[in-house]
Amino acid sequence: MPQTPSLFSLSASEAIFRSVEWDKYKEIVEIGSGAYGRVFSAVNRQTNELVAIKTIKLANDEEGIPISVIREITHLRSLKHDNIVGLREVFINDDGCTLCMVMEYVPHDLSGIVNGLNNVLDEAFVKSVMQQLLSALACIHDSGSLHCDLKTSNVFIHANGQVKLGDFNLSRKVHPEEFGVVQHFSRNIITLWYRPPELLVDQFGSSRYGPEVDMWSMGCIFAELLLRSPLFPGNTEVEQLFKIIQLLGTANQRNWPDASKHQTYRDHFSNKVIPNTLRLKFKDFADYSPQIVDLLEKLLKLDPRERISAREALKHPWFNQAPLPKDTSVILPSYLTPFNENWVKQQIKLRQEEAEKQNPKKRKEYPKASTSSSCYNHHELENSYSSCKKKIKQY
Amino acid sequence: TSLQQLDTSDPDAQFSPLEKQLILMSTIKNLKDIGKKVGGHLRVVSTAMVYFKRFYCQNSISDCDPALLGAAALLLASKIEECPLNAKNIHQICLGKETPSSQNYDTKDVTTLFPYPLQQILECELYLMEQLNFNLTVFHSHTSLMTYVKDAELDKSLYQ
Repeated sequence: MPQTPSLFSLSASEAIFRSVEWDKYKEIVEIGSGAYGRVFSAVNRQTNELVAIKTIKLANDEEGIPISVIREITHLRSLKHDNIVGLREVFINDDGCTLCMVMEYVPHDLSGIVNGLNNVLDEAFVKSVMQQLLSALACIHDSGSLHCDLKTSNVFIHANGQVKLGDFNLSRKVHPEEFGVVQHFSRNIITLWYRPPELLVDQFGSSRYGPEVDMWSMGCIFAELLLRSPLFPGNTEVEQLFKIIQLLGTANQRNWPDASKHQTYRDHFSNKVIPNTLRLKFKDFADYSPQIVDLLEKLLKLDPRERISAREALKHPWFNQAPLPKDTSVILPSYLTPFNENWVKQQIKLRQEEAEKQNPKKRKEYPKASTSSSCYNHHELENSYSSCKKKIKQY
Repeated sequence: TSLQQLDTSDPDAQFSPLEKQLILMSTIKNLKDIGKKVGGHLRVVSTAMVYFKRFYCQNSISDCDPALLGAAALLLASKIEECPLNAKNIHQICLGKETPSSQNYDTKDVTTLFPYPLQQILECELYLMEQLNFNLTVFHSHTSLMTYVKDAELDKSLYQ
């Protein structure tokens, strides 16, 4: 395979990628990089649209194009929705081993908004985000797909408040059961914090799952928007399950009859009775608007069969109550100062350095975040990134 | 006439239309066998066939060997249909083995039947994807037929 070594040693400001397609764009600036490759922002010469160009370096391994890349392309191609990141074009770079995906540029993501913005997120804002997300999800589920990696850092948001769902690396199509395709249903989907209990207890990954797994993640995102901190920040699968059970109570015949079938569940919770404390934790919100907690309760059902679907959730009375989603007073910064995952990472680094300067001996004691403050807990965020990395490795 | 001029500029001029048809048809039949031996599902093989036909609607046989493209189509289709096949297994079956095994096998192996190393299948996969214009989703009638049969409440033995 022809490979020019000088290609990646040049600095980003120079026009390093050459092909007919690259000539369509100007003002190419590198905005991030990861294990897969680099991300550039650019402006389309003809339409003046701001786009993000994701370059994926195809490693010379023995399985060809990674399945995650194929998934992302096929799903973004087939899903056209106002609240799903638009894929403008895909092309192969002239060197023959770099795939470029041109997508619309969305500056902020929800993890940045939750952690970085000092404003109060009012009810209308939360409602607007939830409504747009649910309608995107309803579209995905109607087409027979699952997103499988819903989390705040995958929910992008424009400065005008328009939400765009992105990152379809793990999403998959679910064929109807009677067709009998031997599909492999990986259990390592969804970042740990947003993973539903039925995947946590199912040790062997034998069971099939459906759109319910996404709805659980939606519940976690909803709670995170309200609390401004993650709802179940577990480090291991068992810890994650404990955190869920502590809040939602142990399963019984009524709320999750299938739980006792799983060995993992029996090992840890067979003789315990923990009450459901969800309403207690969200008491402040319940006093304010009982419908919020009602919707949250329906999303965070232990039994996957009882969980509300995206279409049903959109019809929930909360969305028709005042304040309506359009009445939000939250003003997002312009695209010049993006609040996103990278920004959060930078902030963590900065704060750690500061903490080290102030008291070098006590650097392992992180300040505890109160649930409603906009300040985030370093420790938890760090864990989130290590768990993300773990997930990628496992995958 | 202009038609004859077109014919001479055709890179496939060395093959008659009938020969072309025969080459493609025999490769497709071969594709089925390979798919079966590798353990690919019917759905994967069907998708691979659609890719194969789409590719040769736009490209000529002399652009890319149908045997090589068939292997690449199978590999790509298996990924789209969420039941990934091992690229090495596909390569081994193409080389003429009956069952894939890790013994006596090197990714650079070639035979007269299939003179391409594994690396070329992978490169061809990327080329195929580009030629298909990244439109990779294929809709099959299998699913709706199965639903139809189920709705008709026929006896299970009748359709299995």
